[in-house]
Amino acid sequence: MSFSGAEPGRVRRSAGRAVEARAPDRRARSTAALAAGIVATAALDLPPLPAALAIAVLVGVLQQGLP
Amino acid sequence: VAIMAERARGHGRTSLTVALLVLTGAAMLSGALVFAAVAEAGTLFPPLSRGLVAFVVSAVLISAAFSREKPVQWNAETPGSWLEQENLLVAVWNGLALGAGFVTRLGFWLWWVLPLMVFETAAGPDGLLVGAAYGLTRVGLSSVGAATVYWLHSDVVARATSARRHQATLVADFLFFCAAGIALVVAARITGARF
Repeated sequence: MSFSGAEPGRVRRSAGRAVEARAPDRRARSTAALAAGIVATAALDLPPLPAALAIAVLVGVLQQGLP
Repeated sequence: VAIMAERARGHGRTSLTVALLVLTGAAMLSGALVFAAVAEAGTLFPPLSRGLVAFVVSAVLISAAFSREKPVQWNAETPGSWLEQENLLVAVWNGLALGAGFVTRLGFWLWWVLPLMVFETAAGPDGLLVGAAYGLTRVGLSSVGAATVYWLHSDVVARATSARRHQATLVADFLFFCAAGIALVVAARITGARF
């Protein structure tokens, strides 16, 4: 969801002019996160099991708010 | 979870503790079995093929998550027939479904990194551990929330763990791309690439 209330990538009309949703923000954040994951794994030789365990717990926590 | 546990008690025939333990135990069991199966599937491939499969899946997930915020998921509600039973089977079925994950709403792309990473480990025990941790967190935390509402008449745990949807999506999105980056590099390493 964006500041304009429009879905990312869509356009909403406001006061007669189009307001772009913040899809580029999400893309920039996502690209930065992806790069961080790649660089950290390449540099620190992160093994998959501890990462998978941490993600299992984090997903479980985040899913608490699901309907 | 509170509603499921109440149904599972069957008008007080079973204690709430037992209902919540059965629910959480079933989720852990189901998560452990599903992810162990995925990890064992990884052993069926020689390292080069396993790495290539994982690399392609990582790339597909990243591409899909870039194009849409909502994950691929099965938008299934808890079947009414389960809730009508009013015995411990309600807890068993719901626990099994929630622990498996993919047969319920996932909410976030982040979930999809889990099967990918356990596939990369290609070790059944690792899959068991990851799946049990997921089932325990997803359902165990809700069970603690339901128990505090029932016994302490406080929704503090439930409110603390139910993050606002928008914030949760932002966090999950960031974590997904980080984790996908990790999976991508691990997949490349499995194929024998060195960097």
